[in-house]
Amino acid sequence: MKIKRCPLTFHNVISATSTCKPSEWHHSAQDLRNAIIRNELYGTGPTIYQVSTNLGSQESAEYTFHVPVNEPVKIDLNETYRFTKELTFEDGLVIRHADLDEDMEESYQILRLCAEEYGLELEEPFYNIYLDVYGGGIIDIYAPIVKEG
Amino acid sequence: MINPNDSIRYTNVISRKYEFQYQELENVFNDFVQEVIHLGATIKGPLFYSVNNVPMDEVLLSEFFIPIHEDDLVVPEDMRFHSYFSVENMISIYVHNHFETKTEVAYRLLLDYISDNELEQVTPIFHVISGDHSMQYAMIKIGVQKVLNMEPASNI
Repeated sequence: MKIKRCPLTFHNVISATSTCKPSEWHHSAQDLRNAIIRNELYGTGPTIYQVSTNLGSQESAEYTFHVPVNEPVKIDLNETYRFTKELTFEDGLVIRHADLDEDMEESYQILRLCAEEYGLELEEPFYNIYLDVYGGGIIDIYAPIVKEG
Repeated sequence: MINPNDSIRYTNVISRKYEFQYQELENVFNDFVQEVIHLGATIKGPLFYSVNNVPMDEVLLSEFFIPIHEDDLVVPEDMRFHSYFSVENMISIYVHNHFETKTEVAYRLLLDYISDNELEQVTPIFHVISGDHSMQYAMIKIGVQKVLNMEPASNI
């Protein structure tokens, strides 16, 4: 399993956070995509999502979605969407999770073990970068490094 | 003829916006590529660019893109480094030879396809320059979306 160490940069990122059941998260992703199209923008990068599960509930989790778009947008005081001109991490570990039938947690664990081995501290929740491939998908999991040694 | 299910997907893409006379296209290409090489990048290709306006007075507003091998590069302020760059849901068509006339025909075919299929254009027109010494060709791609009777927009 190949682990790379590199920075990560996206521009003009719109983000939305919602709490929902694992079976419903794709609705939130769709809402975000539709809102982008309705506002006459278009995506210029993959959908990136983070999952926080430690809400004390087995039933639902907090999902945050990020989509890079073609130009900067002004967002009025708005609870649903946030805008980031540049979403960038100077340093991080990335692993490709190629089989979506396998548990993501196993890949997360590999990143954590690797970080431990090299004395790195990672920031969670990790960023899952969803890449379409032949109608299916693979996920590049990016773990920002916050501290070394 | 028309591929109804296309996209643009590359990692490690450098981009920069330009405004220039259409006839200068090739020079602007070369400048862009030279500048990227000068930054220490190795080109992976292909070069692609967007046409962001209906060219008035032959002045083109455009953004140029080139994928490189490096996953890290410091770029000047007027350039951007994208770890991943993609545009989904595109229709596309190939052109080769006689680019200038063929491009006009290709535009017309794509735009007709859009109206015949109840689609709407949601991105600028992208030109992806491909080929090798045996043949030069380009793919012209437009991002589209089914026209839907959507509920009132939730504004971003």
